[in-house]
Amino acid sequence: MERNSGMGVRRSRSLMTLVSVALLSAACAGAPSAGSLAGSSAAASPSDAGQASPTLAGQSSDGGAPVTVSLVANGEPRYAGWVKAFNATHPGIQVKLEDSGASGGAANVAALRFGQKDPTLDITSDEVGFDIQWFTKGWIDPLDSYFSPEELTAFVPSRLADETYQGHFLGVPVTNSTLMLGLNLDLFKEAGVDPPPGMKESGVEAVANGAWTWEQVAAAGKTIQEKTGMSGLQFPKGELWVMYPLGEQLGGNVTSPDGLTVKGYLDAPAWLQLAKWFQDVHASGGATVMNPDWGYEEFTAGKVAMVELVAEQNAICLSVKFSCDVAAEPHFQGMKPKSARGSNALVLSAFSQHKKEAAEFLRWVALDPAAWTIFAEDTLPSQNVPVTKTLTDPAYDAFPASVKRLAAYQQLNWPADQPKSPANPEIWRIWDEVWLDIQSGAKTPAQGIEELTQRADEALSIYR
Amino acid sequence: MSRLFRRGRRPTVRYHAGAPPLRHWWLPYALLTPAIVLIVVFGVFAIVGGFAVSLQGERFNSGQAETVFVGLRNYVAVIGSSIFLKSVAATVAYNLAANPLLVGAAIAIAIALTRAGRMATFFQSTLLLSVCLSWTVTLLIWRSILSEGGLANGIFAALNLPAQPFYTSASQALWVTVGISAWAGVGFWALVFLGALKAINPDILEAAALDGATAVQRFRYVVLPLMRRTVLLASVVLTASNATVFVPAQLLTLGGPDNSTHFIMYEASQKLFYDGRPGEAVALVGLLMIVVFALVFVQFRVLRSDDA
Repeated sequence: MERNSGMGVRRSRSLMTLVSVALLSAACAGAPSAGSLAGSSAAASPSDAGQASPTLAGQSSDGGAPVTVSLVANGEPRYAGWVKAFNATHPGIQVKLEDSGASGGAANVAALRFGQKDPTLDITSDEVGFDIQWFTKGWIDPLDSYFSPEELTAFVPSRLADETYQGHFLGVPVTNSTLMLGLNLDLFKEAGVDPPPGMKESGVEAVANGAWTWEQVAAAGKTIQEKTGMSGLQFPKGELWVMYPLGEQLGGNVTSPDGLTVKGYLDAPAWLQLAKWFQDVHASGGATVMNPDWGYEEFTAGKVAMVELVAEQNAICLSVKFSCDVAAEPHFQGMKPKSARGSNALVLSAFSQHKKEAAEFLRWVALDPAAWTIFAEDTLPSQNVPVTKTLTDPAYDAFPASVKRLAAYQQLNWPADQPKSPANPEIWRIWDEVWLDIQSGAKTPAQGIEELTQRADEALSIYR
Repeated sequence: MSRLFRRGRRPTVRYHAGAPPLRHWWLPYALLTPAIVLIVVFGVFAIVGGFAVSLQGERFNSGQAETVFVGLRNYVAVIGSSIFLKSVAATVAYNLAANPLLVGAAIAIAIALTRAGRMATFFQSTLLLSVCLSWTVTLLIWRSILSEGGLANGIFAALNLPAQPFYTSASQALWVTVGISAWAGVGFWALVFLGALKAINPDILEAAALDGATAVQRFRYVVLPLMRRTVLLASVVLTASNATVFVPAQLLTLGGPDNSTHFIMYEASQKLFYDGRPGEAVALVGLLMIVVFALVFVQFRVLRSDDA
């Protein structure tokens, strides 16, 4: 018995030793991925660069079967339109669209596949500012070598600035979710409140110059709620890209210029002031808290007087049964108006096996007027030509097409500075949670700002 | 099975001591092999691989990002984060509330079903409806019921009761998720406990009744001890599944309000899919796994039968 138990103990120890060695070996092996901030692009570009000119249009890389390029994107119609149009004119390169579902889904899918260094992922759309983290981690290649400086001037300057980090052009901007104020004019009339000027009756200059202040919005919202029982104002979601222009108007910044520090920035008085205003406007009844989803069901059902609309919702007034209009994005009293951009971009995976072909698609999306036309059917593009055309083209004179004109005006004249940090995804997530608590009153403004700053600082620690 | 291999002799396999030997000694092992392979591949390898990932992290040095061995850095980072204790508190509170509620409700429903008579089959089928629904559908249904203008507040309004915030309230959100979880799972476990109740020899209960035991005493001193193994099964399974609760936070509360439903698995999923930090995500899951193993071990010790 003693000999058997001794043998059993030695066997157990041997087994534990073997398992421990196996675990440590697997951990130490890792998979070193040297994602150089400049190195990977330099290594990739000489052989992959199309020398800033389309050399592969219609040609497959080996002259035989077409090269398939994967594109992971959200379910917006423009992506399917782009893929169809590009594939029809580029038989040597066939883009395959993988629909990631709801907005933000593409970024989640990409993060998972990038982490696994998936070679089958070529292009993906990101969420606002996520590409900075991906670039820092070495997950995406910058597009500097695929676009000449002259070609980059095709973009609206603010959109180009959004996608430029440490001198590198990271992604082709593909959305322009500038915010505007949707109006239910029937509720305004019922409450006896005069609405702000909207695109239905007025030109873009009159609407922009007559933009309400947030103080006016809050007061009107409260009056409408008291007199009609309906919601005066709704923020679909207090996401980072929705709120940062409001904070910038008050003099706040999310991070330090290098994007690595939030203490002293995110806890500055401007953000506390904004948090107090945000909580007060909800607590006083001027605004109501929505479910933690980005949706417009309550507005389209006629239960909300004012709602923050994104440019993609420019035709929302066609789907409602009440008198509907769209006004300019409000601003704080005495402050210069600033408009969020909510820019998504198409980025190139550093692990792609078809970078040259993928870059061709990206160049087509960025520079081909055919791509701009498809984009313009859906929302506002990010290129100078279609955006400025929106301001003068008679096709955008009549409502609701004129809403795109307002979006273009705000894009060109009221651009806010998008936060740039390698911890953008982390900060965004924490921001979302905390501002929902501030909005609902679950946290005081001071508690919310303190937690946001603390957790964002923890998230940034690995990048410093 | 008794000892298998004797040196120099053909293996002898018996189901229990005193039973005749099996003709084909390899048969039990062959039948077990597929399950063992699945457990090893999707269990053991996954755990080992996950642990390896948790020991890796990124180092940002002079503009270069490198995946390197970082030892326990990820564990230190998640334990030291300001959200960790809140996540642990939310997860523990959820389990302390949901597990007893579910087990108790399931046993009560099972007892009621034994007295349902001809309607028993109908009720049993109805109970399975909630089990057939996915978590997503379940949450969508309850969200519409419990939303600000939903069915529940509509009923409250009709009864002149104040509207309730439910899952938008820091004090109510956790209990809402507990209640939804109980609703979703009680049907299945009620049927499991019904089977255990029907396995009890009615003569034992009759004897206890003849001895003067009340219904409560019969339940406490006869029924419950005889159902101990089933209760242990339910407790272990529910501990493992409820410790990894995630979907209500993802689809209903976003971990709030005020981190009241910021469960550990929710934080882990956000770290993986949003933050792009698989090492920290797996480290969190690893810590959770250790806690679950400890809780299951305690449950086995407390609930084990003397004849196990």
